[in-house]
Amino acid sequence: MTALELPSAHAAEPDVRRRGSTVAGRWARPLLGLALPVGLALLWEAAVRAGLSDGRLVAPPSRIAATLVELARSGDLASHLAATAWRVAAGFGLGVLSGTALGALAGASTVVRRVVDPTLQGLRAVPSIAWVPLFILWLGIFEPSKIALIAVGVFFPVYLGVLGAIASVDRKIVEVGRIFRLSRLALVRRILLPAILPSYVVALRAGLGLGWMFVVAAEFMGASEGLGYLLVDGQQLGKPDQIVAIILIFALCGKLTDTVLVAATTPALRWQDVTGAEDR
Amino acid sequence: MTLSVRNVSKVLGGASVLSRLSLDVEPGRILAIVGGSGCGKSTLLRLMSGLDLPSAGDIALDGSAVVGPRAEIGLVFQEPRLFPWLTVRQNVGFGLDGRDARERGALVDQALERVGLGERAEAWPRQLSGGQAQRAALARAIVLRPKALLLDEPFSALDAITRADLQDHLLELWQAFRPTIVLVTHDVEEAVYLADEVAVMAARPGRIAETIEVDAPRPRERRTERLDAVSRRVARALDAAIQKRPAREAV
Ligand SMILES: Nc1ncnc2c1ncn2[C@@H]1O[C@H](COP(=O)(O)OP(=O)(O)OP(=O)(O)O)[C@@H](O)[C@H]1O
Ligand SMILES: [Mg+2]
Repeated sequence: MTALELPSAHAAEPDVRRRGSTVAGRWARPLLGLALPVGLALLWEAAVRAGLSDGRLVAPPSRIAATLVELARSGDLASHLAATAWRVAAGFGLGVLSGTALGALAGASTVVRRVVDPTLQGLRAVPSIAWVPLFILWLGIFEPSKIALIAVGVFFPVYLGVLGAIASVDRKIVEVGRIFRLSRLALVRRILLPAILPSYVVALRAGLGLGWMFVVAAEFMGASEGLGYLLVDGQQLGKPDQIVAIILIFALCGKLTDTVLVAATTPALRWQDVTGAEDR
Repeated sequence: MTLSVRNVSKVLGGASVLSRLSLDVEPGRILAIVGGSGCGKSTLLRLMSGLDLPSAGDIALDGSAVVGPRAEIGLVFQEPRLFPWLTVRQNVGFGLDGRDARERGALVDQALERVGLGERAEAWPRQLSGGQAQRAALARAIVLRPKALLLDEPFSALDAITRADLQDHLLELWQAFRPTIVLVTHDVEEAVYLADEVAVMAARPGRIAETIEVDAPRPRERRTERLDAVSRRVARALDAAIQKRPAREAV
């Protein structure tokens, strides 16, 4: 009697626990995370207003906000942001395509892996910025060399992520596909792809982060527009508030694109979240 | 369908896991296999399913050689091996891909009902207990109504009452479609209650030490004098098969 009731009682438990924690957790956690930066900003603002500092090297939040508003109103922010975003998008796209293709090939074929992987691992050891002079010689000072640099930065985490994900697919689950006599194509579509997806998303996120990192490096080297150009401009003209403002924009862009990526893939990864979701 | 295993040997990692093993299961019969841990039961089922090929010997289904997985043969692994990215319902319907949605839904519901998992249809595998996962795996195999069903300790993670329940569900299924069933189990009473014949395996290398006919009419009752007598015989044979190993190694 009790033994028969056990399964359903047990089954209801995780759902109840989850619901309880999301209601409280949905707001409490982001608020807690905001406490530190907002608190520091308020303190700094107060310190400058009280005359404890002149705020020349690090501008108080109000001046940074004013700079941002000014940049936005003049239309500068939009055009520089668009230039940078386009470079990241193009470099990310190229890096993801090539990383995924090579990673999948190397993961699927031992021969390809033995031929290609050692070379790529060697190239990975090169600090990516070291390619810049070469790319400029090859591709010129304008867009192609910048996009190539970003693509290289994105390529490696994606390649490694795909290769590692394919290598760690559970052989036991692939065997179930064999019992169901799936064709090679069906095996890839119905078992390999879903099995790989979680690590692939992690790799894409890492690649996206590196994309934003490398766009700054690319724009430091002779760009006439872009957020990186505004950073250099702020340094050369001694405008620390502009620098901090752009850093904030970068933080927002990075976080925003990452959030979009996560949101776009969450429906397909819902199964992963059914336990342990609270800890994230 | 007749399943026949002829002089099958299997070498794995340089060790002889099965050696010249033979057995036959007549159409619609239930064979239970018992044997010590590591004696090669799972290896034998893998060979019968076509997942692996024997190192020597032949396996045939109704006279035609089994050289790869077949639609007529269903295998339930020792571990549930559910797809974690599919719900229980989708897992159970995995092999029904070609059918139209209505028919598929009805078959899946029926299979879930049979294993007592109707209420957990929308759960993810991660949310299942070990026994529930095992039952979902069983449902995934029976939904295809295979002509031969190979079960590797399908009830090992269940409590006594659920286990008895599922044994009876399995018998109902067998009554309805008369598949040929090979069932690996550690539970001698389960073997004797379900099977027409019990094969006792000895280890190193794996082979059939003895086969014992369960001569009792169906439907059976649990724990009758008659079944108990057979259980005692199987238990003795199992003891002997397991004991023999150290004795042989001592020589
Ligand atoms: N891939 C492999 N390589 C080497 N040895 C293996 C391999 N698979 C199984 N074995 C060995 O073969 C023997 C039989 O394994 P098997 O899984 O068939 O045992 P079993 O009877 O199912 O045991 P259990 O009751 O514990 O499930 C074991 O000794 C095991 O170590
Ligand atoms: Mg086993």
